[in-house]
Amino acid sequence: MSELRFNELRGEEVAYAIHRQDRTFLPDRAHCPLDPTRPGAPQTEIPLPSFEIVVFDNRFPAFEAPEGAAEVVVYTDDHEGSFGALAAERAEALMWVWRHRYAELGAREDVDYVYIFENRGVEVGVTLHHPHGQIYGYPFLPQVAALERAADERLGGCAPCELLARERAAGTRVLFENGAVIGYVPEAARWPYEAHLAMLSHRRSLLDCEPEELRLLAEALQRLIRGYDALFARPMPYVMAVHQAPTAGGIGSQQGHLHVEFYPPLRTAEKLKFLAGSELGAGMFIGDVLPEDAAEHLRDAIGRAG
Amino acid sequence: MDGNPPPEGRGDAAESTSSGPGRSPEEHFGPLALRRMTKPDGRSLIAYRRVDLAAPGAAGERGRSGA
Repeated sequence: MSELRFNELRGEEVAYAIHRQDRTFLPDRAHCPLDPTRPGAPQTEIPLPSFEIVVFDNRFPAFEAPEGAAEVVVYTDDHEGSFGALAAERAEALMWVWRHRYAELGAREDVDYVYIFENRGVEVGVTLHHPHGQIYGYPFLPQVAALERAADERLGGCAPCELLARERAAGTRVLFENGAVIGYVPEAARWPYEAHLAMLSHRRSLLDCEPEELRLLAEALQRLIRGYDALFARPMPYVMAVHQAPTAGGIGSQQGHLHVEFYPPLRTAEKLKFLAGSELGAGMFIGDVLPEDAAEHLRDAIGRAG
Repeated sequence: MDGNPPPEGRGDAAESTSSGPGRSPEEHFGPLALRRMTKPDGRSLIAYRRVDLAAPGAAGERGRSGA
């Protein structure tokens, strides 16, 4: 069981999950715990000879009932796959799996915020290469979600609605639109090639989306990820963060705007953007790439990726 | 900040719809069929598969309204 402590100077919760120190770390190909269990072979985390998408409780949870949740979402039984390489139908199905998990976890009294995310690449701390994401059910409202609600207050309405309208008007940082989703580099991006995908219509969560919107969200996610991989002609490491309305007080009781943020740590094909003195000690990001230039590079890469 | 109300038919919940001899109950959610398992150490696992909504007997979205 993790222990929560409140950091008074920063005004934020810190979780101590000391059992995670011993979690599986970059096992060799033959011992991937996210592979299916082959007949006659040792059992993996998934006791099935094949599967499409599987979700299970994290063996090394940062949160667990009755104080939250930590789940693993395995996208495919193909060890060599990736989100961008999934068949379109599988990516669309993944949106429904996310929606199902938001509905189930968000209905729990001990879950105030359902956070779906993916860490890709050792540069962002991946310990298992098999294509997968994670879901945390926080028993409190985490800081970033609270900041987004504060932005709503500051802007006098839905902040993502306001920001995507600004991006459409400016046009210079827009990557694409597909009828339901807009992709853009934020005006004040913190990471060199940070990009956001936002639902064009106000949708608090995946539960508010029409089936066609879910299909188009999957399409947009794959289009951006394939563009990222084309940008430096290598698999792009990133953190993918799905932001939705908090669920404290019940699903549908709070505001939010479904959007997905990507934080890739690379500033060139070989150089990482590190969080250092200003970012960590003062809380201010110093950028190496102008968002307008990043958007131009990404548009080109997305075009090349097709 | 006023969000648009969710369109008709949203806010679905999982619904148990079928089981057969020797099989654990299968639930449906949207275009997904899902089966729940409990691992030996007590952790839960859900296996999802996409179902063809056009196929006879597929629950799919119909499971939400009980149709």
